[in-house]
Amino acid sequence: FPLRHHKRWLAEKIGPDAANSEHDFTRKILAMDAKNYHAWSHRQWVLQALGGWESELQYCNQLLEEDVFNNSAWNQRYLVVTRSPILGGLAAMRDSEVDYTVEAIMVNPQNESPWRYLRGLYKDDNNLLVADNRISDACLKVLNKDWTCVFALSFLLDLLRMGLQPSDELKGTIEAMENSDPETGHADIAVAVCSILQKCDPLRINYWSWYQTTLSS
Amino acid sequence: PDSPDPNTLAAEKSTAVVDGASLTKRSEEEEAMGEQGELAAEKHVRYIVTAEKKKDSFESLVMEHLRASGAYWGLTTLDLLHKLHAVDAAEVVDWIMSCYHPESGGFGGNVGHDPHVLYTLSAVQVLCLFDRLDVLDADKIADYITGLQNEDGSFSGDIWGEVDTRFSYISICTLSLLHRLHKINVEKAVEYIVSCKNLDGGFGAMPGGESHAGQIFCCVGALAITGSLHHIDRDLLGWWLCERQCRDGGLNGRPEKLADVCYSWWVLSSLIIIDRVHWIDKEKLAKFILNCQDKENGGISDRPDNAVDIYHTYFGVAGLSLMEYPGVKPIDPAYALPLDVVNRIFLTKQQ
Repeated sequence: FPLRHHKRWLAEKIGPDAANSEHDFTRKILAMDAKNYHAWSHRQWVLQALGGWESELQYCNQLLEEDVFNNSAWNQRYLVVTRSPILGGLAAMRDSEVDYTVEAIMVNPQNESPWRYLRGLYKDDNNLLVADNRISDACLKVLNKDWTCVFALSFLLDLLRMGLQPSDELKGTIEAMENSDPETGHADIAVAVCSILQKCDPLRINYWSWYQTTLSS
Repeated sequence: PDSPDPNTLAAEKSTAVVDGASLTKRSEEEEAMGEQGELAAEKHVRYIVTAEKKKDSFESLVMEHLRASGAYWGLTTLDLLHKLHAVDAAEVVDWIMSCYHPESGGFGGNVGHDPHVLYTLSAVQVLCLFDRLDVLDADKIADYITGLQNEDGSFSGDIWGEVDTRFSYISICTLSLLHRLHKINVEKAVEYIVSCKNLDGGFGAMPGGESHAGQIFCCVGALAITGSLHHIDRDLLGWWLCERQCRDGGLNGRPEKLADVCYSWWVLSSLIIIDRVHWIDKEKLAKFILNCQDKENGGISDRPDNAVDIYHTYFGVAGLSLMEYPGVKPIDPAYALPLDVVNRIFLTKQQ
C-alpha cells in the first residue's frame, strides 16, 4: 500500500485529469478482489477529491450483477446515491433505489447487505419508512416463503416498533409461525416476533431478549 | 492511585459488569471454555520464539516491512501467556530503537525503513511491555505525531498524507501511553472520527467509508481513550457488531464475509468497550478460535485448517483473553496491551 498513497500524493499534484487513471487503477484491483478495503478507500478518496462520478452508479450495478453479496459495492452505491453531485441526492433517488433493493432481496433474501441498504435509504425518517408499503410487503413475501429468515423478521420487528400497523395478512403469517410452537402466543405482535427471533437466531438470543425489554406494552 | 485514565477504568468496569452478576456464572463459563479443546499455550510460545529467530523464513520475508508490528503481536502474545521472559529484553529494546528516526521522531517498520505512525505505535507498545519507555524521547515522538494531524482533525499516516481513521486511533493511543494526549487538538480529532460514523452505527476509514470491524475498533478505541464514547449509539453499533457472529461461531468483519480469527479481537474489544459483549455467544467464539490452532507446531490461523501466522496467533489469544480464558492474562480492550502493563503506565506517575 505504500505505492497507493504515493500515487495519491502525485494525483493531488496533477489534478482532476488524474481521476480517470486512478479509477482505472482501482478498477483493476477490484476486478481481482472486489471487496478489497484499501482499494475502495482509495477509490472513494479519488471520487471526492478529483471527481469521476459519472459512471460510478453503473459500476456499482455491474459489481452487484457479478456478486449481489458484495457489501462494499452496496456501500459504494450508498455513497454515490447520497453524495454524487450529478444524481440529485437521496430524496430524488430513493424511489428507484427502493425498487432496486427490494428486487435484490426477493432474489436472495439471505443477504445482509440489501436489508441494511434499505434502512439507509430512509436514514432517520422512520415515518416515511413505515409508510412505504413495498417494504412491509417485501418482509411479508419473504416470510411467507421462509418464516425463519432472520433479516426479514428483524426488519419487520423494527417496523413494528416504529409504528407499523400490521395488516391482517401479516398478523396471520405471524400467528402461523407461532402456532408451529404451541407454547407461545402473544397478544402483542412485536413481542411475538421477538420471541420467534430468540428461537431462530440463538447466537444472538441475548440481543433479542434485550430488544424485547424495549418494547413497551 | 493518582490520576488513573478514567477511560481504561471505565473499560475495566464494563468488563466486570458485563461478564455476569455472579462469580459462579463466570467460573462456569471459564470451565466450559477450558473443556472445549484446550489452548496449546506452550506450542504457541515456541512458535513465536522460533519465528522471531528465523529471519529468512517465508513468513519473515512477507512481514519484513512490518516487522515492528510483528514484534508487537508476538511479544504481547508471549506476555499474555506469562512468557515474556522467554526473549531477551535488552536485545528487543535495542532492535526496536534501531527502527527509530531521531530526525523525525517516528519509527519505521524495520531497520532502514521510512517512519510511519503504524510502526511508531507498535514500537511504543513493545517498550511498554518491557517497561522501557525511559529510552524514548517522548516529546520528539509527540511532535512527530502532532505534525501529522490535519486541519479537519484527521491524521495522516506519514509525510505522504494518506488519511485513515486507523491513524486517528494510532496517534491517540500512542500519545496517551506517553501522557501527551493534550499535544494534539483532541476536540477536532474526535470531530473527525464522528464524521466517519455511518448510518449503521459503524465507522469506516473516512467519511462514507464502508463500516468495517477493524475501523470500528480504531474509532471506538480512540473515542474511549479521549472520553468521548457518548458519540456512539451503543445499541445500534452493538447490534451491527453482534451480527458479525457466523454460524460457525467465528466473527466476520463486515456483512457477507467469512469469519476470521482477527475479528475475535476487533469486534470483541469494541463490544466490551461499549458494554455489549453479552450479545454474542462467547462459548461458540472461543471454540472457533481454539479450532484455528495448529496444536502440533503452534500458532493460530485465520480460520480452521489454514496456515498459521503471528498476526492471527496474537488476535486469537487476545480474543480469548477478552473472554477471560483460564491461563491468559487480561488485556485492555482500548490500548491492546496487558492490563497490568496499562495499570503500570497510568497508575504510577511517569514523565
